[in-house]
Amino acid sequence: MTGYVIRRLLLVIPVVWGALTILFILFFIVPGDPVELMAGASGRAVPEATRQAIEEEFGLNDPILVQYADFWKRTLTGDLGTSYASRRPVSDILGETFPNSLRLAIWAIFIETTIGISAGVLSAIRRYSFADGLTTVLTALAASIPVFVLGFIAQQAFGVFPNQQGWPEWARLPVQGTPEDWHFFLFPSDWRYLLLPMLVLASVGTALVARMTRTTMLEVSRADYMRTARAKGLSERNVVMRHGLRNALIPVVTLIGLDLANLIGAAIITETVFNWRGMGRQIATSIFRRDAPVVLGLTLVLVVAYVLINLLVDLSYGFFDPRVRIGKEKS
Amino acid sequence: MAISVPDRSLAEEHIGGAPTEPTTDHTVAPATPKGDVWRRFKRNRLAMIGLVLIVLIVLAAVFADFLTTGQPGKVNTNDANQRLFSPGHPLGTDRVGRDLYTDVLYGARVSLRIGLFAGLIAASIGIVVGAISAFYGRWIDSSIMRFTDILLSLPYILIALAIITVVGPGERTVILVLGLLGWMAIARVLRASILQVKETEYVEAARALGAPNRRIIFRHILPNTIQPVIVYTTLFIGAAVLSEAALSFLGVGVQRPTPAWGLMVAEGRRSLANYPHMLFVPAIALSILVTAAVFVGDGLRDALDPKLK
Repeated sequence: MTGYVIRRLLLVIPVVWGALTILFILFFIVPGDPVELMAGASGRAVPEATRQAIEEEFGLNDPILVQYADFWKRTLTGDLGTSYASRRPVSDILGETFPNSLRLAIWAIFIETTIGISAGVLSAIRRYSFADGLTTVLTALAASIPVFVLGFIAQQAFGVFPNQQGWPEWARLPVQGTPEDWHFFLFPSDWRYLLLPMLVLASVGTALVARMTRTTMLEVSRADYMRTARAKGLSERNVVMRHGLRNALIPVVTLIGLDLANLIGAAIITETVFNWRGMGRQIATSIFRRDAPVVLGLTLVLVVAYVLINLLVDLSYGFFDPRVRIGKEKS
Repeated sequence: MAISVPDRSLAEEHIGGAPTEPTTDHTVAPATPKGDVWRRFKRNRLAMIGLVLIVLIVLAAVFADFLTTGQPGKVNTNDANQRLFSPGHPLGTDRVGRDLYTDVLYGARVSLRIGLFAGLIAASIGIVVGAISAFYGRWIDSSIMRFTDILLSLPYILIALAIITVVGPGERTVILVLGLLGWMAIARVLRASILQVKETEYVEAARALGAPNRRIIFRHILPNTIQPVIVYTTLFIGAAVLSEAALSFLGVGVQRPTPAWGLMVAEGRRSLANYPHMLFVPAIALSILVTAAVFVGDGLRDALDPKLK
């Protein structure tokens, strides 16, 4: 098992290296002049002296391989570089945006799992009931509407409309902004800011999880061990929860792990819609500004997080399914 | 009774690839395997609804010239902000007076093109890469799989944004970007199922009979492994149409005057408070197409999966 974990951890290295190399090359060929970005002159010519000074400072005149080597040299020593646009260290920007994104993501995954799995189980055991039909319709809807549309509709319905109607304060939700104070990292002092972004970000994932849970629950319900469990005289509750759900959850857990990439994509959109000060919004703005150090630095964190979480997902199979407890080989 | 089994191939691919044991259609020998698939597909009501919807959308796209006299993307500020069912504009107009009925019809062309061509590119790359990976094995396989790991670890929207800022936005860029970033799952699914089929008795039998590699690959392995690829590609087409909307929202999707449904939705969001139809008309069209693609994909999966017969 330890050997397996170490092998998997070593595989993280080429993935992170490859991902950042691809991005580095992309940004190297991006048109646009970082010098103009830094000198803050939009359209106006940058004085030659300033240009040279900046190019010298950031090594922009070096050949691509030298820049590439420099990039890794400083990244490996923990220095993520300096933003072209704001001249602030990327690690500072990361420190501001990372917690906000993490909070939003944790809440979204919490909703995905709790609501998604409950809805899936419910519609599987009460198949063809009203609840099942409702779940099917809602999941189909959530999966077929662009995230930003959901966001705007939510803003309109819960923020703008109640405002126009002059509803009391507690009945309207703010449509923009990030909570400032957090208790125990996860609990904002003003919940109302978190509510809409969290639900919108979770929507697609929740739909996927619900669908997947329903499918796998239906599949395991035909399994021999379920019949055995019932024959043993276990209560229906025990049969469903201990024998059914536990087996049905394996692909669901995988889905949540792999859906992380989609979650990050959705976060870029959701954070932009709700003006949430997180990494997604930051990356989107930085790409448009061609602020390569910020994009590379934040993406590094995202890629590492993605790979590590999927490693955790793989390891968690052992918990759900004893048959794979001895280091399963996975390509 | 057709059991809807959504995301099944997804599940299998993710848990390290154990696609349903492909039955040897040749030995079971139904009169025509293809007719058999169609018979099963036909029984699935949702799948048929999806198919009918897609056919309708395709017809609307093909005959757009006959269904409207308007010009797509034509700005006419005198007619701006017309509501639904206003004279001459059955679906209203947008902020600058483009007729939404006309744009939705012509937008169907663009959205379908994006879905189909992106799907085609993704499927072609996925099939080639997946097949090479599975057949050659060893270091070729592991390096290809590492490479797909790398691409999967990068949020696609991030690379898409970066690529599009390099080559400039537009319909062709959107198709290329979505196609080039969408093949990884298809490659993995195909690889996993080829690896399984390679070990089956009928391939061994063909080999024992001295069949050449080419025959084994094209007659025995591919027909039995292509099914998850078809399903996956159908689902991907829906996803690609949705992604166009996300890219358009970020301003790097299809550009005016070309109308695309995602682009129209992205534009309509600005008028959501006063003229909600500008968002909802294209959004409903988009959702219908995406949902239809999912229904057909699910239906195909059930129809192609003989275990559920």
